[in-house]
Amino acid sequence: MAVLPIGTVTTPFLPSVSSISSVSGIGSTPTVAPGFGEMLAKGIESVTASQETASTLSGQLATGELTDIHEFTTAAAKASLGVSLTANVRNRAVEAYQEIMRMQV
Amino acid sequence: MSMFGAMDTASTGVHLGRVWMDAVSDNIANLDTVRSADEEPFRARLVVAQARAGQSGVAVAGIEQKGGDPVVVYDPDNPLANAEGYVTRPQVDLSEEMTHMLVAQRLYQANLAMIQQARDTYSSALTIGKGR
Repeated sequence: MAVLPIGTVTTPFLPSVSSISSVSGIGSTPTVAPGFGEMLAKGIESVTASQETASTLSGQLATGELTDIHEFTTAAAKASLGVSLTANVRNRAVEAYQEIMRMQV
Repeated sequence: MSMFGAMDTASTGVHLGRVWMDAVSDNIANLDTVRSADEEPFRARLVVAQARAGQSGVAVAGIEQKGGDPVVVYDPDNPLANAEGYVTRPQVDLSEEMTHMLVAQRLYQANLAMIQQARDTYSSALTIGKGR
C-alpha cells in the first residue's frame, strides 16, 4: 500500500471537498495538487486490494494450500487497518465540511 | 518501505521461525532412524538464515545438512545391519535440537509480538487529534 500524503488535505479545504461531487472538477482547482477525492479514491483502491489479498489467503488457508498461517493473519490485520484508515480520513473530511456548513454567515 | 513496513519485515522473521521449527521437528522425529553402516546416515537439517539483499527482513537461504562422523554401532541382530553387523546412528544431537527448538519458538514469538506492536502503533496513529 502506498503512503498517501495526508498533508495535501491542508490546502483550501472547500474546493477540494466540492471536487468530490464533480469527478471532472479535480482539474479545475489547480491549487490542489493531487486532489482530495483522487487521494481518497486511491486509498480505497489499495484498501480493496489488501482486502482481496486477505480473502485469497483465507481461501488458501481453508484448502490447506497456505503453509504460513501468519501470512493470512498479517494480511487480515493490514486490510482491517486500511479500512480503519480510510474510514478515519473520510470521517475527518466530513467533520470539517460540516463544521464549515454550520458557520454563521 | 511500504505502509506496513514493520509488519512485512517481522513477517519474514515469522516465516524463518516456522521453517526452522519444521526442520527441528524433522530432526527430532528421526532421532532413532538407524541405517546400514554402508549407507549415508540421516543428517540433521540446519536452516540457513540470510539478510534480504536491498530490503529489510530475513530470508531462508537454504537448508544444510549437519556434517561430522556419525556413531556406528555394532548391532548384528538389526535387520538393517551390514555384512559386518554395523548400523549407523543418525547425525542428530537431541540436546542441540531442543535448544534450537526453544530459539526458533522465541524467534517466532518475538516476530509475532513485533507484528502485534506495529498493528497497535498504526491503530493508535489513527486516533491522533481525537481529543474530544
